[in-house]
Amino acid sequence: MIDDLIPGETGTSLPDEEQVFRLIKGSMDGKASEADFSLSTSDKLASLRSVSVWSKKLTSPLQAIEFRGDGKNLYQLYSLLNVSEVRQLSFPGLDMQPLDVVWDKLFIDGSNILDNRPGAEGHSGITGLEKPPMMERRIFKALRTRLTDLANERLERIYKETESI
Amino acid sequence: MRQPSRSGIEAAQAHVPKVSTVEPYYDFSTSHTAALSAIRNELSAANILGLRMLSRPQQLNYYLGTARDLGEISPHTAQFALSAWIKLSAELRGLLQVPDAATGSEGEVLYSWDRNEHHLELEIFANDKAEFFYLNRVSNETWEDELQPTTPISEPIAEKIALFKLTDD
Repeated sequence: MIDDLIPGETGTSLPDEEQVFRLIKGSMDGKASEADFSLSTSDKLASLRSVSVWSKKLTSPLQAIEFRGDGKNLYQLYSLLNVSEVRQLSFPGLDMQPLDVVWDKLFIDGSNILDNRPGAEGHSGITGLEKPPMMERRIFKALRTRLTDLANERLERIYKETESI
Repeated sequence: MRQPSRSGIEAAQAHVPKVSTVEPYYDFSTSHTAALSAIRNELSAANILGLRMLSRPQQLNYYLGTARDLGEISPHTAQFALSAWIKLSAELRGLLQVPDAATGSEGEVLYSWDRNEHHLELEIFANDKAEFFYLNRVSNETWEDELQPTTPISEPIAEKIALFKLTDD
């Protein structure tokens, strides 16, 4: 794994030229869905209010799955996203960059001890996916659809060690 | 890409519930949940390969039933989502394209229809709210409405779902 990328502090931006991936459960048709980019209750309670993504250079999909705990069997796909393309997503009438990709350091639950499991250093988040109070819901949903379209452009299957390719 | 195993396909077919209702068809425990998850992965792999073992309505029914049995959505939400599909399909006399379906982290179901530049989604939340959203990817036209379970389909909703009417070609 290439190690020339140094993770930043939580909330700081990833470089434009980097790639991140999002673990995807897969829809009925085996695609990424807008539901994959909705914040969970725990996402909304976190200070960053983002959906988890992982730096491709620092984390492998199999490592990322290990952080999903009991739900890890549900994830069989990942989508690769160019950080710059996520930042470029917009909608007419918006005069701001709505989405960003930032570092999100992982800590062991309920402590200030850094999680040092393999791949933890690549944890990041896409911010801007919680509807801001001043943004119309239709604009927010349009952005979510555009992000889903982007996710479906580079959707890959995760091959687990027990599977034959 | 890995071929779905015959045993996985047969297991999926054996557990397809009746299309008209999402009845419990598994007395499930932790081990059954793992088995269902594996079966669904097999089915998804089969879909990716374009192998159509089941009709589209059967796939939708199977997907909702499995999501319910995995605990991703409540039985009530599964039933509501199926009822919503039946209601919309009836509006077009059975000629509405069966949507893709996905579940979210908060127990919601998201249906999506895509044809050329047209994108329509129906998000069915655990609190019985169901929101439509339409996006024209070319013109950026957007539209929103709510699906009311107990009232007839409104004209704007009928217009939007008509964009996804099945055609001979």
